[in-house]
Amino acid sequence: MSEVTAKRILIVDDDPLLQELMELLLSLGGYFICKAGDGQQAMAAVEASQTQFDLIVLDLMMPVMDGRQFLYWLRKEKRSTVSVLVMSAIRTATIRDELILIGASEVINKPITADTFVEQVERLLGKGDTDCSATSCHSNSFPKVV
Amino acid sequence: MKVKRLKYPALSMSLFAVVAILLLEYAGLFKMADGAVYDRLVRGNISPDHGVSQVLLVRVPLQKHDEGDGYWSALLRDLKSQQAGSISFGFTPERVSPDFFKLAAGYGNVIFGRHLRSDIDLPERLILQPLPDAAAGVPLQWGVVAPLPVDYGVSRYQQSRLSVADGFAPSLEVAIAKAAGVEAAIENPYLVNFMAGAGRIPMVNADRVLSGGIIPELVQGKHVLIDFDDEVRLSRVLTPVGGGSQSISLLEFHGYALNTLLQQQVPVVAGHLATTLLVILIAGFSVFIYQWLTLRAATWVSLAMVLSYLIIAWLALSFTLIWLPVVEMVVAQALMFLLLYRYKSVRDELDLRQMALSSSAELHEKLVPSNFLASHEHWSQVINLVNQTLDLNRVIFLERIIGDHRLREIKSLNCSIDSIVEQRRDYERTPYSTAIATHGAVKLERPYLEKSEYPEDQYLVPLIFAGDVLGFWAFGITPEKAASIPLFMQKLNDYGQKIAELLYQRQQWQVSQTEVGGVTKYLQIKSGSAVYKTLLQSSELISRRMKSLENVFDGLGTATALYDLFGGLMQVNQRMLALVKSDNLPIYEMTALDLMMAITDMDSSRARYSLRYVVMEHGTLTVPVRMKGLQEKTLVLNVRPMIQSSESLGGMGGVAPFQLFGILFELVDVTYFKKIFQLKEQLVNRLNIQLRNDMESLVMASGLLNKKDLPEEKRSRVTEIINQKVMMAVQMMGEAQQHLDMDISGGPLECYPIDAYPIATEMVDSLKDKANERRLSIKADISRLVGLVFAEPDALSDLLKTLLTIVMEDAVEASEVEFTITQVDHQVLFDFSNTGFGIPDDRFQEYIFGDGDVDTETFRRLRGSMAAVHKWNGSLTAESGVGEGMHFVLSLRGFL
Repeated sequence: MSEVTAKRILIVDDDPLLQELMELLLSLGGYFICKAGDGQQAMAAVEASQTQFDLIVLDLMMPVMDGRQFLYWLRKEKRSTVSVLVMSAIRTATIRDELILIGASEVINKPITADTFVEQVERLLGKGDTDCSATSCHSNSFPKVV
Repeated sequence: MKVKRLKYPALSMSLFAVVAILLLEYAGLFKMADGAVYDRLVRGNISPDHGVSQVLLVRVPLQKHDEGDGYWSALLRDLKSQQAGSISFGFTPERVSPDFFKLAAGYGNVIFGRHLRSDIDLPERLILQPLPDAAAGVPLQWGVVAPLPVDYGVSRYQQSRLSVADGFAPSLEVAIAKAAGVEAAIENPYLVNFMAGAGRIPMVNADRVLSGGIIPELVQGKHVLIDFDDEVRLSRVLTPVGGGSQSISLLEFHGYALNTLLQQQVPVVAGHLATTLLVILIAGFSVFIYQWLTLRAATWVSLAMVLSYLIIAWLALSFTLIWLPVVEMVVAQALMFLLLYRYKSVRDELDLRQMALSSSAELHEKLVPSNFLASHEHWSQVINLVNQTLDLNRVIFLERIIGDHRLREIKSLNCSIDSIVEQRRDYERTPYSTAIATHGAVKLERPYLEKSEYPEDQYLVPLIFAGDVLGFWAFGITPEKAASIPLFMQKLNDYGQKIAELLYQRQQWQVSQTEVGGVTKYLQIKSGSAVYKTLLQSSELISRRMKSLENVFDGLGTATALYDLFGGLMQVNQRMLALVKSDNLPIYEMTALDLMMAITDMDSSRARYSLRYVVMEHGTLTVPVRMKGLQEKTLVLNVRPMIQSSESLGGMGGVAPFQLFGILFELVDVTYFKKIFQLKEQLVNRLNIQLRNDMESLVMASGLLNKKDLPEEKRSRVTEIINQKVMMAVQMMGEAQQHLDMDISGGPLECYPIDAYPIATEMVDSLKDKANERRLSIKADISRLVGLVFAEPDALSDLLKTLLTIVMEDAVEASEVEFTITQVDHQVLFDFSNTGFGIPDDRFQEYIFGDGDVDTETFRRLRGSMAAVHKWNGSLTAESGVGEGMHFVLSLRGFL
């Protein structure tokens, strides 16, 4: 059994409680979690990170810079290929199509169960190592995935 | 009023006309006119074709009267020698011997005229002039010469026989004709035929005959009539052909009369039977023809008929020598015309009266409800209503006493007629005359009602209805109260008109209650006018009521058009006219179907079906309106049937199309309601999103709690998060519910959670053309994902437009103007900036937030919007500097 570095996930959501819950949930899976409260904080986290995140869990409606604007920046300006799981409470086909067009890896409608969420995360994960410095990253009791 | 009508008016009128004309004829009332018409037609018939005269007249000077045998016998022999057909003397020579009479008798064809003269013993009895003694025993032929029958100065007739002492004797002309072998049954008297014209009977002097100065052909075979020519004007006679100065001599008249008999051309007068038949015929024809004709047409037909009678009479006289009773015919025609059209006129009047009676009774009961007027309480109600509305100190209604210059009290409150200053109770003097002249309320400068304890202004309002001053309304009011009522004087006049109408109705009702009856009514000639008077009153009232209804119709809040059962426009109000004008629809030329198709998406078949549904099923439709000129408004068309009340239907069960008296089209403006519902929909959608977010937390927390490997301290934290989330959701829902519960009838919105995204994008689009004029580019970064903001949509749109306009106007040409919307915490920020000229910041701040004058419209609008910003609990910051451009940040409270 070889030791594998934990996958790095950036959670971008303006709801700190939901952030915390997602962190708790994903921590159980041994992922390394970073958090940002809006698009601008997320931009800073991405810029500051020496290694690319493996997954960004992105909320859509946020103050200062919303999820769509951040995704646009990430794909068009940063030219990042990191997987982005968009979690949207807006259930319109237009929004979904627009997000996919901009570069969302997956768009899921809130609310979803914890298991479904984890399944979606696991499905999208599987590549890249990274480190975390600009944002709040936690790897406490982070299990090594073998 | 009970009206007796003829059962068979045509028959009655015909009979009346026939009998009347025959009676008048028998009374001889047509004689003069008939004679005049006859003379005129005879003159119109004069023609030489009426035959060569068979008579030769020999005129003997009057001085030869006493001549003896020598003269008369010579004349007789000369005429006999020239083979005269017969020789007649209009007299019997008196100074002759028996030889003369023997000679005359020997010739066999000599006839003497014997004049009638009054009996010496009995002057009124006419007796024949006795033959001279010399004629005794000589068998002479003779005829009677009598004065001519004269009708109104004109001699048209000659007698065929005359009554003498011992029976009848033939006239001279008849005796001559009989001697000439002309036997004809002629009437007595008979009409002399003058149609050959005047002067057509040849006449010579006796001296010329005696001197042999005439040609034999003139005498041969002719019937010679010898008579004296006295040349006295009095002996000349007026005839149809010899009127005026052209009168003919008596000798000539006898010549015409004799010639008429000899030629057997006696005009025949139609008898009474013929007259009766003709009049009946005319009456029957008139009854038939006049029933179908209007008065004007009937007049022309009557004139044509009269003309035809004259022509027929002329033709009959000319060709058949029958004289028709043309005057009787004309009179019959005229009489029938008058009778029939008088009858029709009377009948129409009766019908009108009947209609007026029933209409006025019905209208009167509706418009002047007697139970209301009979009540003693209604004036109390009126005075209380007026008092409550205007808050008067004291008030009195006064009524004119008809025929007097004084007034009497109808009703008063807190005063009485005795409160009126003594000298001011005569309504022919001031202040009444002033109020009447003003035709409206007047404020009284001098005391009218006796002084009160508190200060008051006094007013007098004339109660005028339909131009009649019925009374006055006087009152006192505290000056402050009067001043606080907007349009006070106008309101007084409006009230005055209404009170006058009530007073009028009351007076009319009182008159109707005390109206005289029976014989008195007839003596006062009041019977006939009552119906029209009542109808006039009702018409006046209904006209006023109609005007009021039209005003109500016009004043309706919705645009309304009323169509009849067949889709024709009956009534349309001003609002509807204004709306259809915006789409250039000619509503007066459109049917209900046309209008429905024009303002909705319905095609012809759907519109027909819809109208059929309204008419046949009495259903109600509501359809959206699509009008190009009114795209900013949201209208719906309500189509509903106007059905007669069940009372007017007489309790008939069910409904039928003809119980429908109209189709009402209403265009209801629902723009406001649509806006409200759109805002609420936005709020619900956003609430839904937020709930999904919160639900996500709860679902995820629930999932975590199910994880067995979750450490206990984390589990506690998760539980804590659940509690927090639930609390937050409950709080959010409570807040949202307040906005959702907002009463939509509570007037215009001032502050509501709204989505700024569509407002902002629409605003930017509206200014793009203006930006292009200065080659400006608007860089708009507007996130559709920002939260709702507290504002009023239209005011926010105006404010955003004003701010963008200001930065555009300040921007350097061909530069970029930026507009972004971002959300920071619970605030949504609208950021406007430019690369512009800018102005000193202190002046800029003064422009926006100061009180001084601003010279640009945009800054004035911005100042005007600041009140709204404060109402929304928002804020506006602005900064500028010369060469630095301008920068605005509008911060509004966010929600969800």
